Amino acid sequence: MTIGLQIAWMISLPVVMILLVAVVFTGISLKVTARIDRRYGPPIYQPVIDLVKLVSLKTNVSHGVIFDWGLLVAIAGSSVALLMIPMGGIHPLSGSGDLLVILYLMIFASVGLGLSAGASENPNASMGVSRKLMLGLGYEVPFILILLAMMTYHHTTSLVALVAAQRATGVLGALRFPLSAVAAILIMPALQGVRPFDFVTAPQEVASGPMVELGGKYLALMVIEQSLHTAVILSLMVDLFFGGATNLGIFILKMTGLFLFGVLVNAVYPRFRVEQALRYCWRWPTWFALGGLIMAMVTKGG
Amino acid sequence: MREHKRAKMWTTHPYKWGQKYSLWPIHFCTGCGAIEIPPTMLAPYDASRFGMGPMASPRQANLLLLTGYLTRKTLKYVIRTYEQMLTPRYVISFGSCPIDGGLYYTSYNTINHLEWYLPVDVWIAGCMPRPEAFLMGVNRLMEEIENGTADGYKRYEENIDYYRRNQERTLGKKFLEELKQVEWLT
Amino acid sequence: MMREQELVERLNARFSGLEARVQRRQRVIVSATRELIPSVLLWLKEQAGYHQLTLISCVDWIEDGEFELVYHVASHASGIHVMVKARIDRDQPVMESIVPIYVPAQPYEREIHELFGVDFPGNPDLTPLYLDDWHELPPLRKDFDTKAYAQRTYDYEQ
Repeated sequence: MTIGLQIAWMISLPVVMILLVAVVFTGISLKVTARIDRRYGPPIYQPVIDLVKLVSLKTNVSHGVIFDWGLLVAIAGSSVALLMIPMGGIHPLSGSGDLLVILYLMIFASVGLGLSAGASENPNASMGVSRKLMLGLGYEVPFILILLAMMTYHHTTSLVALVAAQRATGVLGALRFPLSAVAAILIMPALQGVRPFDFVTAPQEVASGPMVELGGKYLALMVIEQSLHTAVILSLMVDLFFGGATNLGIFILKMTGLFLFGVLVNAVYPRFRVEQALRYCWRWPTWFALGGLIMAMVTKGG
Repeated sequence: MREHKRAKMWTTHPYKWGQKYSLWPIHFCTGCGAIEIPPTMLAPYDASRFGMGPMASPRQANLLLLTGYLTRKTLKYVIRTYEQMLTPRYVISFGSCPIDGGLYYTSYNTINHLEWYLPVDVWIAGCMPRPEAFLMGVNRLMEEIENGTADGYKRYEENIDYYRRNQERTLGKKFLEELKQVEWLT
Repeated sequence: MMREQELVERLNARFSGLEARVQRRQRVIVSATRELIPSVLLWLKEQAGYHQLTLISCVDWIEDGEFELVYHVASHASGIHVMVKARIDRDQPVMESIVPIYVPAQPYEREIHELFGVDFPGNPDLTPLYLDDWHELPPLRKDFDTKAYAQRTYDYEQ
């Protein structure tokens, strides 16, 4: 890619993903959840109305500099992680140690949100942040085992190489690593933050957790941050298990399929408690991921 | 025809369109009228068609639903919640108790006139109003937002002395002093 | 499991100074003096198996100058609901707290203390439940004019 095209994609790709996930995916999820509840639900462009309202509020309460900048740190981390993931052939920032850098950048989202919530002087926010970090503790264990299995089998840490290997042999990652794929599907709702793992921003328990003091423009920034994080997770899963794509359109279709799976699980299940979620994540998904790792080590010979 | 009007409003007054179709009530159920809120939010009355989704924190919400009577203790918390909300904010009062005391007009603990303590944009009469009446009230609020006459929050700021006088007389001086000490309210 | 008539006979035989009668099926009324209440309730709980204290209510007999405290206890085995009544003086209303016998009596006594003005020495916490900054008569007494108070406080001329 020429440098000009790279810069153009670096600016426009996060914007495209924000519009896609925050507007289209959220609208679809509202409508699908409403239809599952046998009611009509808001129009599909409802998130646009919400964002316009949030940006046009007249007063915005801030709690200091860290409160303002915490969210921006989270958005920066998620945007850079997004740019490193190949999406249908577009990868402005890929290098050789991709997966490890992406894992590291994904923590930025939690850290930035934790900074912002800590500065907001509300005990509900601190409770929400501790829940978020405990959820991270839960799903990171099987998640890292899954990534280790992939990296061991292909002897590379580059996502571009992983996608190219799937395209070359024609075998999807989900079929070559069945145990790891099962583990990934089992912890997918935890990665996305939907029910049964949505105790982080539970409105009834912790008054929406870290978002409790965010109003107006800050809430709009939070919506952007959540949509970037969801885009990172979905595109990572599509690349690892469903073969990526040759162009952006098919890639977005695959992301939509995975997103709909999360929406359907969200509409049906109740909420876990924190210790139940940890126990769940450390039991069957970890066993499956460990099995996948052992199989990867055995079949390729280490 | 309605979509045409909506599209025209979107281009000329986007913020009105945003506030009108995205009213987020705060999940604060006061009094007996709160029993009519869950049937309205779910099927078949479905208030989420209008973009209403309950929010947990006053910082995120812009609509305060006062459903039913308010005791003196609840009024203190309602005033604190109302002052934490971000402008523009709207108040819908539900039932006949906030209008003139309703069923409890001789009670020693419930206030009789909500208008003396908080500015109200839409009144819905009934005891309790049915979900259809609630949705009609919400539609009335949306019309008022479109016309620009839903200015309860402006009235609160302009006539703050009047409201503070009434609040002090009913709730006592100690409440106002506590309110002044909390800096994060506005 | 004692039926109503047997309970009435045993109560009348065991205690002097109280009068027990059957009101109807599954309802027994016991009228006792103020000093007998703790022993009657202890006997009902330990010897007769009335483990549930349902309610404590208070009636204002303003013409007699007395309050009447009614203790509602119930037994799950027999399904009988016993109402133990005691009259106390209205000008100095003091009643011994039965929290050592039935622990759930604590919030009921707190409520009666706030709304009627009856004192319960022995109750661990008698702070007000519903009303704050209340400087008038206890509001559920019959000589408290609630309509005048409401008009004075909530309907004043602006």
